[in-house]
Amino acid sequence: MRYRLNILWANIVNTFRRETAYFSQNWSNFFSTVFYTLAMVVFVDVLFSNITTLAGYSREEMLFMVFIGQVAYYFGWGVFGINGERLNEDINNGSFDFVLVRPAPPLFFVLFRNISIIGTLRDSLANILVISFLINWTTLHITLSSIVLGSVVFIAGQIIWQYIRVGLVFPAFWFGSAKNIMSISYELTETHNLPLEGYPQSLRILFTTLIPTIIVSAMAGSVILNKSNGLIMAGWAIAVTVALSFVFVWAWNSALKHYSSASS
Amino acid sequence: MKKIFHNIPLFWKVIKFNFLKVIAYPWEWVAFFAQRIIFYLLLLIFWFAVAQSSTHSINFRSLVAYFLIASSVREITFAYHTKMGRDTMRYIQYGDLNNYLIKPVPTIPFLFFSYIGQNWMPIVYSIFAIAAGVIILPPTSIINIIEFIAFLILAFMVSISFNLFVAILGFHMIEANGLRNAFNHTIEIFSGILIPMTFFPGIFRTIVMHSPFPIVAFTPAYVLQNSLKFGEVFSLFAVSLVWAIGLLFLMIRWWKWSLRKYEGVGI
Repeated sequence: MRYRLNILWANIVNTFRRETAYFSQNWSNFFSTVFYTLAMVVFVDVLFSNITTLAGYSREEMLFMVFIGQVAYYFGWGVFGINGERLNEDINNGSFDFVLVRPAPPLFFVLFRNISIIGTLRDSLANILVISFLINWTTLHITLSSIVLGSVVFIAGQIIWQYIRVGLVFPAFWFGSAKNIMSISYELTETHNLPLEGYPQSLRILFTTLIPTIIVSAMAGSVILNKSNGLIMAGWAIAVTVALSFVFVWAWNSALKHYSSASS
Repeated sequence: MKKIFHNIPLFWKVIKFNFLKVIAYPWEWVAFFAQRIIFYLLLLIFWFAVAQSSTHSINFRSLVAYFLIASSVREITFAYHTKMGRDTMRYIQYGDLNNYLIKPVPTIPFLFFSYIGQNWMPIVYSIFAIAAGVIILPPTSIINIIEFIAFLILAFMVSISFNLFVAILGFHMIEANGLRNAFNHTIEIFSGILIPMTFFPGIFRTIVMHSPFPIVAFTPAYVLQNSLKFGEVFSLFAVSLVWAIGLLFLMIRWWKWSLRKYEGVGI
């Protein structure tokens, strides 16, 4: 355990050094996220100039869903997102050999190689504060228990998303590259935009079981806003996470067997 | 221009060479089409929920056709995430542009044709998607199709300018990906790719329609799907033409000016 914590710490420090090396990168990323937030706020406002509620969600509740979507994005994609891309590059150009020869558990290393804390804080803080400021919190029906249960769903959703991001790279072990296959995960982030109740029943089942992409945002948001039964949702999210963990480890072991190293 | 025509056989070879690089990974094509279908389906699910929640009637069939055409226009004119600009920006930042500058061919067309060779999948997808959009909601007359083609050309010119803008950032900044993303978000929201301009409220819509962003997605789809009065088409065409010529002229000038300041490895 201590050894793994040392690896985590080394990865955090290494990522921090890389991220703070270029000053202009900091500002350009900051601008990017500010523009994204502004675009999303314009989107919600334009939408609600045509409708009064969306799938039972008011404008304030939709802004809250944008808030949850943003927190989910930064927490998942910002902190760990690049690990999938790096795995694909490594397999494609043979550098994965170096991962295998390191004295660290390969799967653990691949999942947590890049932990971008400073970069994520830099990009996310201003946006999340802006969205928080725009939401009229008094109109939302949020309770302490809904926050606790929503957080459980959120954390389970983050673990699931890390499996999805990295898991979609596994075909690279067979085909040499999985750049476009991995990019499917970017498209699936669009599932964050619609509330859980907006999905037709069949798609709701699909996106919470086989392709569980909406657990982190739509389901967590629905629980926090007391729109669905928090206990059942939290139980479901944990069950899916456990099941997916087994599938993920099995897929990793199968994929490793098909890796043709650059040096063999 | 003469130089470009003179080099057409070479550019054809460039397209073929880059095409062969892409077909080395057949599963990647499948994934590409899966990506686009997922994006499109999720957009439709979202708008289906909006249509269900709306008190006034929203023609869902027309929305399906609109999103098919608008997203394809963005794709076929290379405005999608300004990827061509991003690639060129990287060449500039990493000094790889030198490899293109030393070639006895015009640099921008050479980069453009390399990009086409690597990105034939979006072109194929867009052609099918536009055809599907036309089948779902056929245009009322042949005039709509002629107008669509004219606006498509203008969209292409604006899109090339957008890509050049992103590429030029690479001359002036060490890392400009964030700014590129900011620019892409702006295109995404004001081009009508996520929300048609017809949903924008009055004055806000007028302001956005006078910007260059709707030209790369909304305007061509709008003229194809609606029988507009001559005055409206003329006004849209005038605005689009001014942006298309003005931006392209400006960006080419800026590119040439920036190129003179370029300090590449080995030059």
